[in-house]
Amino acid sequence: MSSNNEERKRRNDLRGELIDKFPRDRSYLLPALHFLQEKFSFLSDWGLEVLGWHLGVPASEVYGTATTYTELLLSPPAEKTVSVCDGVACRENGAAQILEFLSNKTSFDLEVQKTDCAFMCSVAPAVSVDHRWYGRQVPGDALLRLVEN
Amino acid sequence: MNTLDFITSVANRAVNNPAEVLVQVGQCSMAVGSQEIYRSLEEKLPASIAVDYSGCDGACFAGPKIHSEKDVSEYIEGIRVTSTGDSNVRNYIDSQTRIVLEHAGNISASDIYGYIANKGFSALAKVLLQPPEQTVDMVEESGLRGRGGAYFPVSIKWRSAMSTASKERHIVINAEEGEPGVFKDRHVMESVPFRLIEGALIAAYATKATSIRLYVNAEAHLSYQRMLNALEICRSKGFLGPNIMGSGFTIDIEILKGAGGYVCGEESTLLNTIEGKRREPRLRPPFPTESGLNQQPTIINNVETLCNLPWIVLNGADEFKKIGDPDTPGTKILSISGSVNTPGVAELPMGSNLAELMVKFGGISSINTLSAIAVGGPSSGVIPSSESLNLSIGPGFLDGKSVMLGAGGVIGLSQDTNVLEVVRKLSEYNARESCGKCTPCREGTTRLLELMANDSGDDAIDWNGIGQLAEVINAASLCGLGQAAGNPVLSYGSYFQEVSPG
Repeated sequence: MSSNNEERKRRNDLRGELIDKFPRDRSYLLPALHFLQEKFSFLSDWGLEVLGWHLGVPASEVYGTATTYTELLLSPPAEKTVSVCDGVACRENGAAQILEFLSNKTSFDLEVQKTDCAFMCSVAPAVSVDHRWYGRQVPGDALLRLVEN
Repeated sequence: MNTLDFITSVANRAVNNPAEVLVQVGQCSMAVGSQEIYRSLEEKLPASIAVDYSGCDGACFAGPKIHSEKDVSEYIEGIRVTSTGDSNVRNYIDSQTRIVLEHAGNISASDIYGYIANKGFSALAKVLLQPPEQTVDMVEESGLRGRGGAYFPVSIKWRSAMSTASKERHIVINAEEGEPGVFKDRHVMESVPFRLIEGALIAAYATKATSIRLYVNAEAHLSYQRMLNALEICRSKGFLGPNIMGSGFTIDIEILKGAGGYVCGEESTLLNTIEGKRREPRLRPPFPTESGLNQQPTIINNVETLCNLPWIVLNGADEFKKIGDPDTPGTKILSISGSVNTPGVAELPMGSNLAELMVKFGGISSINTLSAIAVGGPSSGVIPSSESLNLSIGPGFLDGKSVMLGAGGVIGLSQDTNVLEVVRKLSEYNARESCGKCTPCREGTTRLLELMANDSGDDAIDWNGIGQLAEVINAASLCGLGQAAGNPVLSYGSYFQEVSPG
C-alpha cells in the first residue's frame, strides 16, 4: 500500500471514530479534542484537520481553539516528565531548593520543568513525575530515586 | 410512584451501615500515600472489616488519614497514618462551622445510601413537594451569595434568568477552580459529590431549568471521576434523569472536562468553552442570565454555592442568617497554605477576622511569624500581616482598595519571603493567562512585568508609572481577569512602597 493510501486510511478511520462518538455540533469540540489527545497523546495537525471536517468547523478555528488551552498539547510529550510546582505556596515551602537540587543532581537528559500552581498547596512542596504528584518533598536521596526511577 | 412513596422505599434501603474503616483519599492526600493505604487495607484487612474511601476532611496537614473507631495500623506498612480522632485533627475540624463540608471525610464518597442516611436528598424531596417559587423565596430570604469570588446574591441571579422568556434555561456548575492557592471545590467534589448533585437539582427545580452542565477543572482528575461515578449512581437510583424521586421532574447533569486556563473560570469564557469556541470572554451585557449558553438564559453557580442549598432548605433561612455576617450570611471555605504549620481547608463563618483565622487554622504561634498574606490569588494582592488584624473575610475589597477574598485562597508569607517576588509571580501568572482578546490586559500585563524587572535594583522601580498602568488595565479590560490583573501591584504599592499609586 502506498503511503498516500495509508494516510487516507488513517484519516478515514479517525473520521469514522469521530462520527460514532460525537454529533456534528461545535459544542463537542472540546470533548473531541480531549478524545484526540487521549488517543494520540497529543494533537497532530492531521488529527485537528479531520476533527474540523467532522464537526464542520474550519481547521483554523479548531487550531485556534486548541492552542488557547494550557492542557492541550500540540507536539508529542516528553517520554518522562518531571515538574516542580512553582506556585506561591510551594515556593514558601522550598520549591526553589528542590528545583536547584534537581537541576544539579539529575542526569543530563532529564528535563525538570517548573509549573504554575498545581493546587497541591496543602501538601507543598509538590513534585510530579509522569503526571503523578508527590507532596511534602525535600531535597535528598528519596526525591532523587523518585525522579530517576 | 409519587415522591412520598419514593422516599419511603429509599428510606427502607438506606440503613446506616457504613464501612468500619474509611480511608480519606483526596487528590492532595494521594500525593502523600492515601491510595497505597487504601489498597493495603483492601488487601490485608480480614473480610469481616469493610473498608471504603471518603474524601479528605480538609485537615490536609495530618494526611493521610483514616476515619475509623478501629485501630488498623497493623495492616499498614511503611506509611505514617493519622486517625481522624487525633486531637489536632479533631480540634481543627471542631473549631469550624461546617455546612458544605458537614460530611466531608466522615461518609463514603461513593455510597449513595450512606449519604441518604445522613439526611441526603431529603432537602431535594422537600423542594420537589413545594412550588418552585417557594424555594427561590427561601434562598432570597437566606441572603445566600455566590461563593466563586464575586459574592453576587444568588436569588437575584436566579430571578434575572427566570424573568427572561425562553423555552430553554440552563444551569452551569462552575467547578473550573483555577485560582492559584485554592483547592476547596476539589475537596467538596471528592468528598460529598452527592451533595453537589442535590444542590444543583434544587437550583434547577426552583428556577425551572431545562439543562445542567458541570464543568470541572482539567487538573481535578479525581473530582471528575468521583462526580462521574456519583452521577451514574444517581441515574440508576432514580435521583437523576426522568421522573426524579417520583416527582415528575426530569433533568440530567452533563459533565464536561476543562482543558486548563485561569480565565476559563470567568463565566462568559466558561460559556464559550462549552460552546466549543475559543477560550475568551464575551462582552457584557448581555449577562449570561439573559443571554448565556446558546444565547439562552443561563445561571452559573459555583460548587460551594450550590452545596449550601440542601442545608438552607433543611434548616431554614433564619438559621442560615444566624451564621456569619448579617450582610453575607453563612460560611466560606478557605484554602490555607504557605508558611503555616497546618495547611488545609477550613469552613469558617463569613466575617471571621483574617489574622485570627490565620493563627488558629494555620497553626502558627502569632501573626507576626508572617510578613504578609497573599489573599485571593493573582486577582487580588498581598497584605501585611499587621494589617490583617483589622480585616474580616467577606465580599468586595477587604481593605477598601485592592485586596479581595476571591475564591478564598490565603497563603501565609514568611518573614524571609521577598514579597515583591511574590507580586511578580502573581503578575507573571496574569500575563501568561491573559487570553489576549483585549489590549489593556494583553499588553498591559506584559508591560507591568517589564516595569517591575529589577535590572537596576528594586529601588529603581517606578511605582508611580506601575500604579497608573495597573489602574488602566483594571479599568479598561473586558473580563474579571483583566479587571483585577493590576491588583497585586496596586496592593504592593499601597502597603509596601512609600509612593502611592495612580
